[in-house]
Amino acid sequence: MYLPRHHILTRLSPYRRHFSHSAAAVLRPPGPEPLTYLDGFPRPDPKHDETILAIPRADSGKNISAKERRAGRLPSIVFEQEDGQHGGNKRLISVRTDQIRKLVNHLGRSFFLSRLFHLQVRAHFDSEDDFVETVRVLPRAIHLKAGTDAPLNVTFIRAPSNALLKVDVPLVFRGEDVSPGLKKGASLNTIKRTVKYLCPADIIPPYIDVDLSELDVGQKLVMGDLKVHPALKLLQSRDEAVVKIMGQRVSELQKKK
Amino acid sequence: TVFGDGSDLIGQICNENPEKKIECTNILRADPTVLGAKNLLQLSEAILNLAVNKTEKAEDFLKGLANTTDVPAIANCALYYENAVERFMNSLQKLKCQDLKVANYLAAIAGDEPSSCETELSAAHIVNHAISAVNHQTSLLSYIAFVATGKLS
Repeated sequence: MYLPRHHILTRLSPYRRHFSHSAAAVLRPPGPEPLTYLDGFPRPDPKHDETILAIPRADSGKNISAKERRAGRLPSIVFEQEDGQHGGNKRLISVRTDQIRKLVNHLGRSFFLSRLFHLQVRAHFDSEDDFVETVRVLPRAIHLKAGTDAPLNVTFIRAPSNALLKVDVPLVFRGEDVSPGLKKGASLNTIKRTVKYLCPADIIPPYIDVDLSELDVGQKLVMGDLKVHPALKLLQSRDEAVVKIMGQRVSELQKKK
Repeated sequence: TVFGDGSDLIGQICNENPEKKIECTNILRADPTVLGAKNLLQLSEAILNLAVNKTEKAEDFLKGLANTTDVPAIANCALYYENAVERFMNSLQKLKCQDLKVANYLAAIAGDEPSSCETELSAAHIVNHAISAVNHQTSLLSYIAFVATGKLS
């Protein structure tokens, strides 16, 4: 068949790298500065930067999934942006089970799900030069086998710079040692461990610091109290509590008397 | 057999998504090479060729528009379409090499380019129905090629 394009043989060389660099040359119109992490807020630890390797896979199905797992691979999907207005197709891929297991073990499940990764799709895992594309993704969900916590499947969502993504951001509690309430023997009631935000893809926080250092007995922190980049939009009620310092129960007080 | 009634090759592709069925059937029935396909492999090749041709025309249209309007968002759209053409062409090349999974994947991700174009226009508050129409068509072609090549794996 005739393809009306010059230098077609060169363009169709099987040895040509399939990652197009044209996208890197996309012009940026004058306008608001790109969003960046602000000083004083958590940012992803570079030591966990890792490219997840993937290969295209055949259509989904139980048999194919089982076959993939036996080969040490996880069936996976990369979904298009969540708005869905502009179409786009999901991508069917397989990733290495051991790589995903290692990442989840190192980061923790919640932190794995709130971090961006570069996904490099290759024709084959061992074909370093023949990769189809590299795309930035956010893990969307991961299913772990009960008992062993072995990963069964994982899904991602594409995360270009202009994307707005719903992310369950994990909370990290600090200051327990100086909390006046905790010093009095009260207990920490952790009500929420993650909070859902609509995040610009370029500034997804790896976690949110929750400062307990000034909390006294009976006091609580609500979602509206959390310190986050102003570009993040809270998707839950501002008045919903995330943590509370619980006073001692009357029965416990009586026991001490 | 009436093409597009579900019992033929085009029907096998277009019936995958009822919402796209009419548009899918119409664009495929308009191409004589697609109509002449005798099996899924020939059909997939014809669809990818169709996608390449239409996307090249869209690319030329956008480049011309970029030259006359001096709008960065439209210039970016032309670049996105350059990528789309390349991905469709690479998908076709992989199909001919019988690397079906990669061909399928490339067909899928070709749809990112019109999506990125549309997002770029929205961010720049540009409403251009002609560009949106070619974006819609290219997204449709990506989907059709994705479904067709997926049936070969």
